[in-house]
Amino acid sequence: MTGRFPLPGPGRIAWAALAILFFCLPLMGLPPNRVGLLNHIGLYAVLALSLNVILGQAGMFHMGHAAFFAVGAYATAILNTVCGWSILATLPVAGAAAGLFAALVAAPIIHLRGDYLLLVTIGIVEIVRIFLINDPFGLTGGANGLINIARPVILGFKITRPPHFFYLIWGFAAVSMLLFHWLENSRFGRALNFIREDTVAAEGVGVDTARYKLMAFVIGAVWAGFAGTLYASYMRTISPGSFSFWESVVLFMIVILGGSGNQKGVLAGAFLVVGLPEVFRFLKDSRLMFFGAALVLMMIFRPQGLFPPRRRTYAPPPEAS
Amino acid sequence: MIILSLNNLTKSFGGLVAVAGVSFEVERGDVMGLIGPNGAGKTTVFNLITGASRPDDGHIFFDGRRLERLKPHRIVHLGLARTFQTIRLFPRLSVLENVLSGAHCRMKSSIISSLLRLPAQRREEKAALGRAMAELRFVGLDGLWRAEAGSLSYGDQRRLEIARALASEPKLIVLDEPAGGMNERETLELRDLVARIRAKDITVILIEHDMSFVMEVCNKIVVMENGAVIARGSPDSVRRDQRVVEAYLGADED
Amino acid sequence: MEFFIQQLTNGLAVGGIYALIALGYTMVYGVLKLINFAHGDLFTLGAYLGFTSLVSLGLADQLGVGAALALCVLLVMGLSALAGHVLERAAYRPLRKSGRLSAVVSALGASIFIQNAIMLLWGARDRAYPADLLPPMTVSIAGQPVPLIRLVVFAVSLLVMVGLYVFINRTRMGMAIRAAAIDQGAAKLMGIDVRRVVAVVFMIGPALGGLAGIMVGLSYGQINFTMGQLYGLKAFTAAILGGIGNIPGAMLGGLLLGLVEAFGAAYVSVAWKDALAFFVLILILVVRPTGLLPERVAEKL
Repeated sequence: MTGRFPLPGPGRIAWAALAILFFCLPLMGLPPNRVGLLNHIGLYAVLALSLNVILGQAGMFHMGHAAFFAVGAYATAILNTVCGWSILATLPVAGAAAGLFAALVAAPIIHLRGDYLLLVTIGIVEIVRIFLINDPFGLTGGANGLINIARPVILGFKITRPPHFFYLIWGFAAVSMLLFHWLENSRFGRALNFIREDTVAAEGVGVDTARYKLMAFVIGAVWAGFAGTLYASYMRTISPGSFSFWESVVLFMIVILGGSGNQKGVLAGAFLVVGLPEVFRFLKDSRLMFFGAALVLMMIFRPQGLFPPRRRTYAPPPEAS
Repeated sequence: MIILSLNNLTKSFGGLVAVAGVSFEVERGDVMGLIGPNGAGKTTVFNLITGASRPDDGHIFFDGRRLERLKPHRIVHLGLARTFQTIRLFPRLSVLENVLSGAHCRMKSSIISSLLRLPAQRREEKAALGRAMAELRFVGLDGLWRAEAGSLSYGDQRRLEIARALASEPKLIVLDEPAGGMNERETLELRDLVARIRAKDITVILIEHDMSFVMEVCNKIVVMENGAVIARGSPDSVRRDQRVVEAYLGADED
Repeated sequence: MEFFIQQLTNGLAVGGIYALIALGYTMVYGVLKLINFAHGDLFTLGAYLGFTSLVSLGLADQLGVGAALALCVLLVMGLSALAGHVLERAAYRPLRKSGRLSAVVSALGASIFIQNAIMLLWGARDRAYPADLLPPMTVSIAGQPVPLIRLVVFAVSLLVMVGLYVFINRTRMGMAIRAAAIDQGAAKLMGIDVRRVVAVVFMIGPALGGLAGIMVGLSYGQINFTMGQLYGLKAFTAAILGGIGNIPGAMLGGLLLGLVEAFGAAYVSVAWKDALAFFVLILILVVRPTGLLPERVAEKL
């Protein structure tokens, strides 16, 4: 023990150096299209980190995350283009709308067993998508979606170019990681793990499993709603096609491949699932096929994902050790 | 003072009556043994008390509250904790975290304060760690706090389940076959542990097949057969009861 | 009345197709407690194999329509069964001992693989079954002209389902399947080769799915490499509707869903037609997860 502030180990230093290097990338003359790719990875990373709370921490097979993402993105787009709100002002509303939506749709289904939950959440995504296409009250713009969404303005600075967005998106991703890390290491995070390991036992030792499952959904959805705001102002155009069942599958795969329950793994998963297909452009149309095969092989040979979940570390009070 | 009373409790599964009009009372400070041949309905009674299943009829009063419509976690919150007949720890989590699962219902930090790691949340977390370690010391597992729960020996897992239940600060603890699978030395230690739990002013109800264990540890015994109570009283009076002797000679030789 | 007859026959035909696909889900689920996510894509594969044998190989020109169709059906069912067998060996058998999540993800991976393999082989554009293959015959029902193909689809699916029911209830293999569905451990102890049962189930299901694929091609003309997703989800809904693991239930669920969709599209809204099935799915799972038929475990499968 090195006292109250133990020195960081070599592993931590390496990770910190990598993070700093990463955040310098746009300054080192990375071409804009590559920065654009990193931005996409960042958006998927935020979404996957929020899905990780539900799928990784609580172990609920949720394949409808794109629905919450859509609610956030459309909330921002409608408030901005119709009501003239600034993007930043729509952020909390987008999160709240997605969270509320999650609370409503998840409440009746959270008791369902794994694979049934999976199917119902797929159903929810499809219903949301069809709902958006049908242009209710003339608000969602039907199949064409909404256009001319404004850029975010932060402290008078208008964010327009990919490198600006890089810092916005990845800054948000970094803050999310920190907050989720804290959440993971609290009674809330532990309760989700108890539910994942054995729901009956968790209930039997005093965990309000229904409530915590619901809260996991709400937290994950709120963050997906935030991601929706970022996405809407980054793309400036959104349409139902961006929130399909397939997007949910991609997010699901990011979490599973990277290592469900491990944030570093989820980040790695985002790079792998979103980034690699871009790098392997020469494979062209066949890359998704390889991807499917990779999933099968992964489950056979390394089902825990690239980065298996880490144990929490505790410093017990001195008299214990 | 009566802490728990069962009033005409009835439960059937698809036409098969598992518990038929069971009534008994437990006084504060009791160590009560619930015995009877296999299939007598003992575990069903435990499941009804702890909210794992709901009675078809009858009432359960605990500390002045009715339990029969409450979910299990609410019952734990009211101060009634349990262990499982087939050990149900979280085997992939650490010993310490298993105990913390019991402490969960006594912690108050909200999700927001956890998300933002507010000072109050950190203080509570630290206090909970201290209490969890104290419970581990109480059952004699503090040296193993880092280990994976699933890697413990059978007897240690049973004791860990007890520590987990104690961490919820119960007024009454329900132990389903605590000595099951234990060797002689472990059973002796368990006898001592139950006495120390009682000394903490925690009432105990236990199901157990090991008769010498029950007769020595319990001050009161309720005997069930075919879903009904056939005898109750002190260990001595139950031992002499004609119906109990018949039930045991007829059904269960051990 | 005119409208009603059209929607009724349409609903029964679509329902028959759902039911055929649903049987594959329900049988695999019955034995393995696994949702075979790739089943919908095997159905698509069947549709494309039918396309190839009818169009590319030009069977119809060489053999005449009747013989060509018969050969096509046999070929497709055989190849689909083979594909199902390969799928089971490659993606599921190695995972028998792993957790549920692993199997689900593997199924998903297999689904992505098959779907994209189909796209690579046949292209991303829609493919069309020959329009002139079957004469545009209609039959008159209550004075209404109804396309013959609808009735044929309905009749064939009914026939196949009855055949399957007899197979499951009257043959040794069928008994073994039923036993394995109730309790695998006990079935093993009674000397039933559960691995063989699983293999058979993974061949029958896709064969029926492949048949459904041909019928979709023949009734609607257009096929697409992603169509398995929607048909698969709906067929699964049908299986749940009838109580998963329950063969007569899958038939009933399929027909019911087909009718609900046809009449929903007609009397409620076409735009919401696809959402309707999902509403049904969610509703049934929330309200009565065991399905509409009363659950009699011993009779499952």
